[in-house]
Amino acid sequence: MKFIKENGPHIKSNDSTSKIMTRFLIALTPIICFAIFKNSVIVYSYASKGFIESLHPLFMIIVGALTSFISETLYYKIVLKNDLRTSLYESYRSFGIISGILLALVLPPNIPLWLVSFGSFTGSIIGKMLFGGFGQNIFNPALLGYLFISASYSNLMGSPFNAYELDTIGGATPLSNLMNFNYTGSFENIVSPFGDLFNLFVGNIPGAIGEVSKLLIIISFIYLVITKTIKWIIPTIYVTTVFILTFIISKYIDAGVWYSLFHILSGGLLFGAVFMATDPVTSPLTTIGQILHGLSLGILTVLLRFLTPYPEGVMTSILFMNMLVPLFDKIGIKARNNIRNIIIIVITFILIIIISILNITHKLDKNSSNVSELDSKVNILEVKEDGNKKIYEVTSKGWGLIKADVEVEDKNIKSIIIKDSKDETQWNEIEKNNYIYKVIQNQNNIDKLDAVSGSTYSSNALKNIVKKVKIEEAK
Amino acid sequence: MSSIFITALIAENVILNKFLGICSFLGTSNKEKNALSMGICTSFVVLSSTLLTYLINKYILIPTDSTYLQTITFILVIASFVQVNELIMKRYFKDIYKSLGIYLPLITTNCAVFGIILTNIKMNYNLLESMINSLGSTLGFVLVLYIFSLLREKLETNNIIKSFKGIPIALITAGIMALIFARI
Amino acid sequence: MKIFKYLFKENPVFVLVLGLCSTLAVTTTFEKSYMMGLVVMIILILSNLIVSLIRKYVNNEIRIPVYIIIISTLVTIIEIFLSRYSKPLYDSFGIYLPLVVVNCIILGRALSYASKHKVINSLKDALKCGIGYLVAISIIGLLREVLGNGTLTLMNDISSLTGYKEVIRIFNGNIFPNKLFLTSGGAFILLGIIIGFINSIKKGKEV
Repeated sequence: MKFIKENGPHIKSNDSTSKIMTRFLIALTPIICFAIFKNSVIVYSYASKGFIESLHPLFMIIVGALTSFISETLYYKIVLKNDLRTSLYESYRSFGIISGILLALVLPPNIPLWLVSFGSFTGSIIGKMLFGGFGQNIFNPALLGYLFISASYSNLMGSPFNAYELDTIGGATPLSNLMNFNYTGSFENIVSPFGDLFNLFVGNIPGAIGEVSKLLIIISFIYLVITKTIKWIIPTIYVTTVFILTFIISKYIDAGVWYSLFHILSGGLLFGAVFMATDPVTSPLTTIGQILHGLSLGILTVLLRFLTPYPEGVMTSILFMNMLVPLFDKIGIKARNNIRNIIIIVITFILIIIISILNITHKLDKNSSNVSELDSKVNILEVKEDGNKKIYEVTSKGWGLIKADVEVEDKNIKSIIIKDSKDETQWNEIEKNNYIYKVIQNQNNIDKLDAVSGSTYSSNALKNIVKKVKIEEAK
Repeated sequence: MSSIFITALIAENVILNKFLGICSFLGTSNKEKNALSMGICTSFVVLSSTLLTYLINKYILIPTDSTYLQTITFILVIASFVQVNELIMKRYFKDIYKSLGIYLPLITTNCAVFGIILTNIKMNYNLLESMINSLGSTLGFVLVLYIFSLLREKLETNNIIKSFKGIPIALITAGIMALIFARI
Repeated sequence: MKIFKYLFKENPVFVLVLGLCSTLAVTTTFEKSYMMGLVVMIILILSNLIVSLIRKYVNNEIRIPVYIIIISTLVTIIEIFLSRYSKPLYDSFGIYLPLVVVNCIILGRALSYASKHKVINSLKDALKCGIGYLVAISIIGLLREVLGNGTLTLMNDISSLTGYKEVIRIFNGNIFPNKLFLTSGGAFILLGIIIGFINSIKKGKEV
């Protein structure tokens, strides 16, 4: 095992360490440039933001890279008691900079810098150094940093819109918009709010700073594969699996091929597939293992997107599959040159795919019946328009009947004023918990908000109002 | 129904979310094969105890208004099923019995078993729901035990600093797994 | 130094890694943590006492069932007491109060120590172990609540019993409270890091 300690699994010599590092940096450069163009230059030109403020994304990347580099150096120096030169060298060799940059690229554009630093630090130290340093970590450090940030400070991460998009688009990201439509709907509902598929392809959509331009990610992917820096099997199979599964689902809900393309082009799928899932340390070494890894990633991502309140699903899938890498490698070794084992694997995966699809279609059926249920519970009596403000007068069935005025500005609910409530006994709890405020706060993923215990009916009535108004606004 | 199963399997995983059965998680999961047969024995005990405790609770303890006896009764039920399990193993699966022998009586004191039974009662599940919850929970238990045994095999060859070798790094790995499971 | 040795070198949680399920599960507030510590300590003392008293009359074959019945009876008594006099605490313990029955520390001490030693020594052993557990669980509870929720609950759920209520707010900024410490994953990681630190201090001393 000495061998692994000295060199990462795919790194032949120190010389190639710096070569690989350079290639990664080259591949990331266009993506970083685009991130800065989209979130700094455009924001500076079109939205009223100061120069330094506009450069926020650049600072994010610098802070991410520096934090992981410095914390790893300090770890080598203080904990492992190397001298400063060795520490700096080791830290350089362990690709800390790359994972710091990758972390910054998957974060939303308005995140505070100290949070980037927090993620980068925890990802490097807990996720990598404590596990024995480069080449021995189980989980991808960049994604782990993201996981730590979102588990600790999900409320501080900020919206995925930069200042310019806040002015022009507002509302939802492509995937949360899809979720608001319960994963079904026409091209006009799902894609048109963001232009067309080409817009999604070049990256003219809201999202994390590095993940939006699929065009540049594909170019980087081709470059990295040609220079043999990453393995092509995992990303290719991953994306293909997502395409095929969403294609089957699109047939079920009578949508065109645009539906599966939309799934591939939205969110962090391509970025994750190319830069995270291929991490040589945390992905299988055997070919069969890599194929299984890609397949499982695709299936899990689709399942998470459709069945959980987290519409993204890519990062969680990659982290989850990091845990199964030893299993995939084990299977990979056992199945090599053994037709019987391969057949067993194929059958297992076909079964898993069938079960997944059945589950998703079941959920979609249930959703559509929920929508008609929503229609029967919430009634819009009147809509008043006043400049860019709109006031919906609605009634919602809870325990009794709730009458409310909902004020909407730029597709966002600003206030809900209850005019009349027959849910008297339950209403105390709602007020005590400040639930109306919470409902407004969580309007973009209202399904995630728990009901107030003891007054489920009234809570749901409020949530239904928000859902209904949101759907109405999105039309 | 299926939501109870999935919740028990992943989101409220016995080990990662409810912290039950950590002793066996940290102790016996070094060997992959042991982890599996231990899992099967545990599920036998859990499922049969679920059935019996449900019946006892519903038809004896509640009607006689003596629910405060739950703790004692349930632990006795579990202990007796562990005995039954041991007898079956001794008779029909001699090989596995030999390798697991000393661990088998410890199923009684495995918090996961008792914890699952208590959850069924506390959540007021009916018989079917209880069985599904028990099944999902034990599968979740075995699943995590198995994944973890593979990871630990990898960790053993790692170049981890001495103070964190063994239990500490195992706990940190478990923590990261718990964070990931919580997002599914 | 002797105290340090008891608390950290032979600590049932930090060193022997026993009884983790309650240590991690109920430590979301400081109050719940030290109350669980006290409950375990009381039961540990009583069970060691009884086991030691009857050690000559119980043969090896039926040891475990007998001890389990003794422990679960003690736990039931505490359950009845808490559900009667401090319902909020009883409720927030949930399944983790009956689970004290299968806490490895209690049965472990009964089997490995009290069943072989005199009453007075068994009591000493129980006290040592119980205090070690109490300190460990309180430290974890303190860290998790203060860092994770920004508050320190000295007494809230049991105020019906004591007539005293005190919840102190310590952090209210951006960095803390950090929700991670309240999650189950954060609890595992925190305990892992604490144990790692104690190991490194011990090692530093040995060298």
